[in-house]
Amino acid sequence: MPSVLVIDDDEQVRCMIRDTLEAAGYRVEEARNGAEGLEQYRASPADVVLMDILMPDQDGLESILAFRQQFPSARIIAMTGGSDLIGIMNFLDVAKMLGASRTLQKPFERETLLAAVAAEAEV
Amino acid sequence: MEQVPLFLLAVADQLAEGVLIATEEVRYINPSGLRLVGAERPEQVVGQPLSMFVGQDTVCELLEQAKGWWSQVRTEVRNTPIIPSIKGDLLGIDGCPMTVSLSAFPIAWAGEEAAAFLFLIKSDATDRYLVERAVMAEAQRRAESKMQTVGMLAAGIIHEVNNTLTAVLGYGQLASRLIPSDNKAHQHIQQVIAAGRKSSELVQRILMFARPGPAAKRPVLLHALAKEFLAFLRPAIPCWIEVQELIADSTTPVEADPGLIRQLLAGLIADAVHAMREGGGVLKIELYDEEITDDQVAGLGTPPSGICAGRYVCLRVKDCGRVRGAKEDLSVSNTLSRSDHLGEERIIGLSAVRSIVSTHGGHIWVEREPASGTGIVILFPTLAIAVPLDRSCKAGPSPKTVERG
Repeated sequence: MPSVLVIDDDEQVRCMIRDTLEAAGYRVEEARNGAEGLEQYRASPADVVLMDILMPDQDGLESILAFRQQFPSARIIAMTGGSDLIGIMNFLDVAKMLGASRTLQKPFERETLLAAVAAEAEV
Repeated sequence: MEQVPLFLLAVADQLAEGVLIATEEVRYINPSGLRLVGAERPEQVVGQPLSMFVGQDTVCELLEQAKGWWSQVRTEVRNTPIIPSIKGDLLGIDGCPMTVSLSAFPIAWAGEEAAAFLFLIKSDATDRYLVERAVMAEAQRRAESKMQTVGMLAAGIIHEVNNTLTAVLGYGQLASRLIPSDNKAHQHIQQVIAAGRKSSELVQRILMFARPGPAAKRPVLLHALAKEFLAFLRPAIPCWIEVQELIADSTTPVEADPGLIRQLLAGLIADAVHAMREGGGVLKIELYDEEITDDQVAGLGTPPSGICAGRYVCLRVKDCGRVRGAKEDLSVSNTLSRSDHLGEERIIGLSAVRSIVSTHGGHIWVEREPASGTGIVILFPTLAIAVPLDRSCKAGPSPKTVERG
C-alpha cells in the first residue's frame, strides 16, 4: 500500500486529502508544517510527499530545499492556494525549480489529486 | 546630426517649465511646452520654424546671452554663472502671444558654433501648475499605497478562500460518491460542487484582473542587481547543472523596476533549469554593455524592428537543453514553449518575461544553435543612450547581427 505524507497547516485540507487518498487505498500521515513533516519523514519515509507552500514556522519552499538536502530521492508534490500577487514570482514555478516533481494549484479536483499522487507513487 | 542624450529628454519631459530644443526649427518640445503654446501633439510644433513661436529679436538676444554664458563656462569651470532669463513673447499655435521668461542654453555644436539650443520657458502659470502637480502626485501616491495594501490583503484572502474551496470541493466529491445518484441528497451535493467550482473561477478572474500593476521604474545598475539576485537563486539550482556567471563588473544604468527584473531573471532561469532537468549541463548567464551601431541598425530588416542605435545592457541566459528550429523572435512570436510534444508542460514564466521586457522598452529573441543549446537574449535601453534630435529610429536591425565584440 503506497504511503503519502500530507504537510499542510490547514486542518480541513489535510483531513479532506486524507479521506480522499485513504478511500483510494493509500496510507496517509499528516504534518502541520515543514519541520514536523521532515521529522515524520525521517521516522517513516513516505512514497509521496504532498507539500503546501504557505505555512507558518517553516514554509513549503524552505521545506522542499531541506528535503532535497536530506532526502534527495523524496517525491514531492507542491500545492498552494496562494497567488503570485505579493511575491516576485509564482510560488509553484519556484517550488518546481527547487525540486518538486509536480505542482497542484488549489482548489483542485479529486481526480487531479489522485492522478498526481498515483503518477509519483509509480515512479 | 547632432545628438542629444536620451536622459536629457527624459528629464525635460518631467519638467513643469516648457522646454524647446531647436536649431532654426523646433526639434523637440516637452509636454509643458506643448501646454504653453496651446498644442496637443508634438507633431504640431516639431519641424516648424522657431520664429513661429519666439520672435526673431527675442531669439537673437537669447542666443547672444547663451553664447556669452558658454564662453564664461568654458573659462571659469569652477564658477558656473547663472544664465539670465529675459521677458519675451511666446506665440501659441493660434498666433496669440503670452509673456514668459525665457533662457537659452547651447547643447550641440558644429565646430566652434552652437548648432542647437535648449530654450527654457517659464510663465506665471508654471508656479500654479507646480503646486497642482505636487498635490496630484501626493494624492496618487496615497492611492497607490492604498491599492498596494488592498492587493496584499486580497492575496491573503485568496489564499484562505482557495484552501476553503479545496475542502468544499474535496468533501463534496467524497460525499457524492457515497450517495446513490437517484437520491435527492446526491443532487444537492452536486449543486454544492458546482457552486464551489463557480467560486474557484471567480477567484481566478479576480487574480487575472489584479495581476497587471504599474512598474515602479528608477535608475538601476543591472550588474549589481543580477549578482545579488543570482546569489539568492544559486541554492535553488540543482547541483547537476553547472552555472557560469559572466556578469560585467559595471554596466550603464537602465531605467527599470527592480522587482520586475528579479521576476524576469527567475523566469529565465526557471525555464533554463526546466530545459536541462533531465540531462543537466551548463547554464550560462551573461550581462554586459552592448553598443548597437547605425550600421547594425541599417543592416537588416528582420525582427525585432524599431531598435535604435545606441548603448544597451545585454542579458543572455543560455542553456544546453534540447534545441529545435531556427532563431525565433519572442517579441513577435506567440510560441513561448520549448515543448516539442503536445501535452508537455508549458513554461508560463516566459510569457511574463516577454511582458516585462516590453514594459522596459527592451528587445527579446531566442538563439537556437544545435551545437550549443538555446539562449534567450534581451537588450535593455540604457539611460545614457543617445538618439537623434528628431528622436526617430531607423527600421529594424537583426539581433542576429549583434555579436559581442
